[in-house]
Amino acid sequence: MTVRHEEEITKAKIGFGSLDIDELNFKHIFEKVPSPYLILDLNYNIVACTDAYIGITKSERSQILLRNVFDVFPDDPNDLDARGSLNLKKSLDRVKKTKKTDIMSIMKYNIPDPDSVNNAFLERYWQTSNFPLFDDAGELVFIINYVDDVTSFVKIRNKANSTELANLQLNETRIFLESILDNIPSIVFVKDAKELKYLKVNKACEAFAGAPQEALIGKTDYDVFSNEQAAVFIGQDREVLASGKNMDMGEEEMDLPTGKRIIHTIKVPLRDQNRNNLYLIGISEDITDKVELRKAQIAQKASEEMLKRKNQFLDTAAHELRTPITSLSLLIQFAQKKLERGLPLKFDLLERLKRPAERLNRLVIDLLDMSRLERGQLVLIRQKTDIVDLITKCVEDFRIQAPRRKLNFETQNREMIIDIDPVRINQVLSNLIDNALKYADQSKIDIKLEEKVNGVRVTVRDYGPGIPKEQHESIFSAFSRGSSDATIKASGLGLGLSVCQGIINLHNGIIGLESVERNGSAFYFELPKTIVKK
Amino acid sequence: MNEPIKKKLLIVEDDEDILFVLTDFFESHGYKVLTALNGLLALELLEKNEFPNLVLLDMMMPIMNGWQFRDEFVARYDNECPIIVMTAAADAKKRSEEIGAAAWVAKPFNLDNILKLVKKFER
Repeated sequence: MTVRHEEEITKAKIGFGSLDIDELNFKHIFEKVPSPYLILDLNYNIVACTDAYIGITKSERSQILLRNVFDVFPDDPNDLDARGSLNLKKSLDRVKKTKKTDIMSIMKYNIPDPDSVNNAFLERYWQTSNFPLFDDAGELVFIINYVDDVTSFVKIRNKANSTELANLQLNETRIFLESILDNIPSIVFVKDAKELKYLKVNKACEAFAGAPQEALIGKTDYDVFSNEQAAVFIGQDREVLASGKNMDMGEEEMDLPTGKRIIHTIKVPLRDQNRNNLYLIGISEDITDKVELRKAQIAQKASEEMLKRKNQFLDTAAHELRTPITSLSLLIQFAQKKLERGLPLKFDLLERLKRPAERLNRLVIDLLDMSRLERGQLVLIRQKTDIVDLITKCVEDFRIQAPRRKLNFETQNREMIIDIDPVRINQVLSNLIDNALKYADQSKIDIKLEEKVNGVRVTVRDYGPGIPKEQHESIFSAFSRGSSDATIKASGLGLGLSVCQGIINLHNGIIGLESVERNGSAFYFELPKTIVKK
Repeated sequence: MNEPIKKKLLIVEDDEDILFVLTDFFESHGYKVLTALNGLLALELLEKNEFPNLVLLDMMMPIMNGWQFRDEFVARYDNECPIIVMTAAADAKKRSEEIGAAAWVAKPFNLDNILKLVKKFER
């Protein structure tokens, strides 16, 4: 039995209007219709309803009959977006106006919860239609309201929508991240924490490896690199995963088919909430070019420094050579002028000519020694030598050269055999004594030999003006490093001490200066007794 | 005897051969020559003697070099005595400018040239 059909509704309407049939019986039939219907008068008062309607709206017939539908079903005061009553009224108004059936779109219209003690509402979605009911004269008398509870359907649909949305967002995020990953210049790779197989590599990584993703995914470092290198990388990975911390691998050299590259890698372990390792992420930068640039810059700086030193050396060397040349030149001019004037030349002029010539010879030897020392080509010819005897003979030579100067040699030992190059050590000692004679005019000179725990110490002491403290260091490097204006201005000592230092260094010894300004200088050198053969 | 007053030269030079030749040469040209082997000795000499008409100064000397001597010389005497620098350095001109010298000669030099310079700048 159905009342949906318009013709039948019309008959029913006639029945209602005239009340000449068994009213109770008809009402009873209507109420049992197994669909939710409500009959409203034109003031929207509830005139009749089916049991099915009572059931789905959780109401009671006695409580709703002859009451205004909006009083019975008010909007949920807790739902600020509630538009149920308004939408229903609009639909009913349309039926009244157009006298046509009005099918509403699905709407939310919460209903009072009869079991609630605090007037709570139940969330409900409805599919609703309103039909006009006419009397015999064709006048609209009632509106039939049909409702269908579609709450569970809507809820399923909403849930489906939100999952879809979430999927959509996830996908967008993935695309976003992948596009970042592929477009950054750094090399990025992701390995699984368990087997350390490549799961993902970015474009920079493909380019660096010279292989497409497909060739790397699922492989381990052993498939990609040499065993030796792979072992290093895998070892790092395990360490990072074990520590649970980011680690900076520093600069590493890598052998690739394209050649040697230098990379700088940071490895990051990725763990879940329970601190289980999930992934190992590596972020690398190919710093080969940077490192090469840095090396080139250092090399350039060193070569500039070298050039500067070379120029300073040449300047100083030229200066040192010019001094005896000046002496020679002036002595020759002197002789010329005497001869021009018919004056006799004295024998001592020839003696005078010897000195600058000697000095020139000495300078050339020093220059060669210096050059050999700098190139590491000065080789010692070591032999067991009695240092006491060596010093005695050297001092004796100077006493003959400078008979008016007082030279003392003091030692506790009668003999002391050490393994040295006697010619070179004699050169050093001669240089020190020569300097003392030259720069400590008229002072006496003390030469002392002392035995130390592991070696011997020879000191040449004068009582001249001394050397200012600030020049103590540069005095040995007057030519090779110093050559600063200050050194040139101060020392004028020439190559001698630099060569001495080079020779003593070759003996694994030390050379130094103890000097008090205006109270003399004490140059010393120490030689080890036992020479460690290298 | 009405001998003309001799011009005085102070020569500060650590090379004895150079000193020997310059002394003989300038004395033969009628100069009174004072010599010192370094700046310190030169200052000591100035305390005991009359002021020179010109100083011939070597720069690289032990004990007291040309720069130090010149500073002391100016500080003590506030005198406009001209200095001619004798140097074997490559940057002779720069050195002479550094100490405000009247002129400079590069070692090795010609005796006749230095005589011309001395005559030009002596006071």
